[in-house]
Amino acid sequence: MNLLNTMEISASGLTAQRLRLDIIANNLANVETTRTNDGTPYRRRVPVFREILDQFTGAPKGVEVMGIIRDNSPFKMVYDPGHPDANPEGYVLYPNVNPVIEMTDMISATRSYEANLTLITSAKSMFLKALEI
Amino acid sequence: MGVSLIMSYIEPITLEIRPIEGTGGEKGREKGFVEFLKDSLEKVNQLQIEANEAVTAFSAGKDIDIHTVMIAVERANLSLSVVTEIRNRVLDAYHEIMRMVP
Repeated sequence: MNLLNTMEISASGLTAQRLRLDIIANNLANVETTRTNDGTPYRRRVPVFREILDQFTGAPKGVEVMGIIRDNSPFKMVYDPGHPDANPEGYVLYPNVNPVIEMTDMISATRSYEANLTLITSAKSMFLKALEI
Repeated sequence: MGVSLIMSYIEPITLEIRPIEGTGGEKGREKGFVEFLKDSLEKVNQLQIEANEAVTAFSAGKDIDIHTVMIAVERANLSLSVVTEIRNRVLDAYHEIMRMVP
């Protein structure tokens, strides 16, 4: 294993966290979206990550995004008879996005990104230190 | 790519240093080092080109993450410092030997 390889692993982590932040941004942007193509309100998206293994040696090589799944928890029901998407009883289905959860996920994504960056920095300083031998 | 890159720097050295320990003439040795240096610099240049392409793509607003750009640049920098360091070491050794000549 080599230090440039370490950087590749951390880079995959950075990409994963960037994608996670994109999905959080999408969830927050659609926090009140009541219409989508399939007729239901917006469903919260969650990324699923998987580790990458080297196909010959089985050595770990970082993380990749396996897919983006939909959170199947129930929608929020809000009484708002004036809303164009209200059902006959006057209730509107709002997306199952909780801004508080999204904000904590956002902090977690930011910190994970920083952790991967710190690792790249220390891999780099190890590399440069090795050149001083 | 990373592993094979560094291995390719390291391998030529042991191969080319051998003639110095043996009975290789001055000409053969110098040619070996020059070729090694040329090869390594070509590879480093390739990495610099890749880094440049990443920067250009990012500046042009293409869909590329900033960390990908920075890592490409950093990889080019690190491999350049490896080659420079090895060149310095080999040149030091060469000077040391030249000093033996009265």
